Amino acid sequence: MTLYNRYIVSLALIFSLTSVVFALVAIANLDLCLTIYIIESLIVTELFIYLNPRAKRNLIWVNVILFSLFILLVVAKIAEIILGQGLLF
Amino acid sequence: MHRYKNTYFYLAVALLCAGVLFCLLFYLLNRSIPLTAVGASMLILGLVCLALARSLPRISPETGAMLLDTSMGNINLLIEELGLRVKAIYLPSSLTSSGKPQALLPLSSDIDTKWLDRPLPQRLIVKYGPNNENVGILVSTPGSVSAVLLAAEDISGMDAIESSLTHVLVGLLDAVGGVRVSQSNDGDLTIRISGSRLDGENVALYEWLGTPLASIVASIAAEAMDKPVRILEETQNKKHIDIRIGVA
Repeated sequence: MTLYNRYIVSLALIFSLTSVVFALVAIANLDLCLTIYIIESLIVTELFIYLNPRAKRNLIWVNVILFSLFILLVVAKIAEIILGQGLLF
Repeated sequence: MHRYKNTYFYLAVALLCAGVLFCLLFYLLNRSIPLTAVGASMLILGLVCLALARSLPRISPETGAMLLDTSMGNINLLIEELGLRVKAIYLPSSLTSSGKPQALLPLSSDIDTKWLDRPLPQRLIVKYGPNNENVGILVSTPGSVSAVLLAAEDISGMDAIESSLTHVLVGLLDAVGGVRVSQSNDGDLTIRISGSRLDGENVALYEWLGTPLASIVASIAAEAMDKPVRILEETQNKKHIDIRIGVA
């Protein structure tokens, strides 16, 4: 199995296991799910440090998108605490 | 854009479409958070696949193999014509004028490496010592190019050999599954390579120069130790390849 395939399979396996846990605990908070997926994705990407530099450069853009989404979720949560009403989901 | 249309691209499109569909269907219609989360994970995977689709090499592995076979075939003809029957000595970049590690194929078997103390000229036929028999041919190998890929990194020292080999063979070339380096009491290095995907016809050249994989390992080891090295032994079984490298 090539390194790229190992990376995708690792990510897919972790996401699948997390989804099973979400279903088992009957989670009702979508922003929490998204936050956990984003953190898992960032960790797995960091663990594959030997990826081709070109792949790493392209994955930086994915990480930027995911991190921006993470910041958006955090800001929305803070706003929810301050304003007393949810902004997202 | 056309050149990026590979398996990862189609996988990315499928995952992104399925992800959007899942999110819309299960969030708006069903209000199922776990299933909406599955859709979100598909979107993340789709983005990752899209990034990887743009990272694949622009030439196919078959083209790369064809170029490698051609160049190795030419060196093979040259060695056969000259009747060289001595194992190659891999020189670090500090002992070559080309600035990259190269392999020296000496004419005589009783080579005295004490003469290898200054950079050899950038020529095919080089004289490395004062005597008439101190002549050999200096060639570039797959290892020469691989070590250049590490030019920006510090690969001096024993600790760096394993990480450098992993970086080149697993990360950059994606040619093997894993690399382990151990050192024996007499200073020889044993490199165990698992999951090799480099296989090709066994040309006679490999007996003197080593296989492309051994050549890469020897070049990086020479660069890390900053000493001329020789491939002492190369053994292969179903699970792994063991390459023993010693200072020449």
